[in-house]
Amino acid sequence: MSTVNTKRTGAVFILLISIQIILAQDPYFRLKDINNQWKEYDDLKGSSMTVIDFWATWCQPCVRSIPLLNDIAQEFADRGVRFIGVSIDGPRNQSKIAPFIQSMGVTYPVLRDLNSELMSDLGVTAVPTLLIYGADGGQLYFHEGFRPGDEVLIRQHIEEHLEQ
Amino acid sequence: MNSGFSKEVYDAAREYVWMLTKGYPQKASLKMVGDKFMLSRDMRQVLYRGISSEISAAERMKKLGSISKGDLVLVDTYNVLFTVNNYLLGKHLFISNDGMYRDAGEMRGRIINKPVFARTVSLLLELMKEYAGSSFMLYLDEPVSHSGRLSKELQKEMVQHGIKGEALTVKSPDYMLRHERSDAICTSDSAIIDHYTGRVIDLPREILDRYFQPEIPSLIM
Repeated sequence: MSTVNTKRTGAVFILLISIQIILAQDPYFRLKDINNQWKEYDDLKGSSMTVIDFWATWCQPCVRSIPLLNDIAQEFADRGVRFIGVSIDGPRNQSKIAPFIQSMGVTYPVLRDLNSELMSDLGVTAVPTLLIYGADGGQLYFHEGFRPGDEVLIRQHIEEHLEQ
Repeated sequence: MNSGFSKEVYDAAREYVWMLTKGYPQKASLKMVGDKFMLSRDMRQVLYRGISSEISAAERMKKLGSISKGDLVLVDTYNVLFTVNNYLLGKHLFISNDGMYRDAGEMRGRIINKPVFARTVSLLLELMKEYAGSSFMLYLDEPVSHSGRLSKELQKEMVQHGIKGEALTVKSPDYMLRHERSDAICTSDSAIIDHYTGRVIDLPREILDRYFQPEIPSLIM
């Protein structure tokens, strides 16, 4: 009986370690930007934190959130926080991405997840979805949708994690 | 996720309801109010799908109900899935003046994002699990790509989760909802609702209210 328990405890421990390793891994990815240039996560990530925002040109809440995220990106830029926008627009909407970015005044890099592969890898199933990763690559925050006031929450999360 | 519409949209909606109630033709009325209030294509679509004459809206609203234990429920599956899917994609969703959750109808019949659609399907299954005492007939339109595969997957999941019923690919879910025996139907298709004499379930509303508590703008004035 005790051998079984020991084995079970060992298996649970290994599972927990594996989960921790997975969670601590960088969300490594490589996607093309709006100029069709390949960009890697490692080149774009922040020294203290990276915020990844998934959006689409047709998405109404995204239209409301992006200008506010733009402000937050500028506010925290000198504290090692970098923002990455990821458009999930499909092939039919590719021509709309650049004008959209321009109209929104986005200052951070925007990548194109044309086949929703990064979405799947990161478990994103709605837009907008915002994810925050720490310097060690661990996921600190996951936020779906956007309602007025969410920008305050996002700012708070960034502040809290910067202070830790 | 969506905030309310502008004052122009509500003013246009009021005039449009009045015209429909007085029996003016739908297309001409929509063009008139759309032009008068300079509405975008999207907002014209919102009025087109979301506004009916006062009488029709009231009649449909009377039929709205909820699922009871032991019900046999017929589901216009894509109609339900695309409404929820469009919400997750951040598209316009609104409460029509007949009380039902509807979208502006963009991208219907096309699965544009697999991860989002997969979640939509799992939300539908999750909700059906909650009504363990009821049976569901999920009808999927044969002309929509991958319907055969999706109906098989749904059938498999229903068995696995102990959900009573079947998922079937059929030429016309409309026909099935109109002619098969049932206790309730799930669709936002006005023509089907008008023809049906029993209870109508707003399944997208049930799913979204239960799992997201969304702020959906209403066209009920």
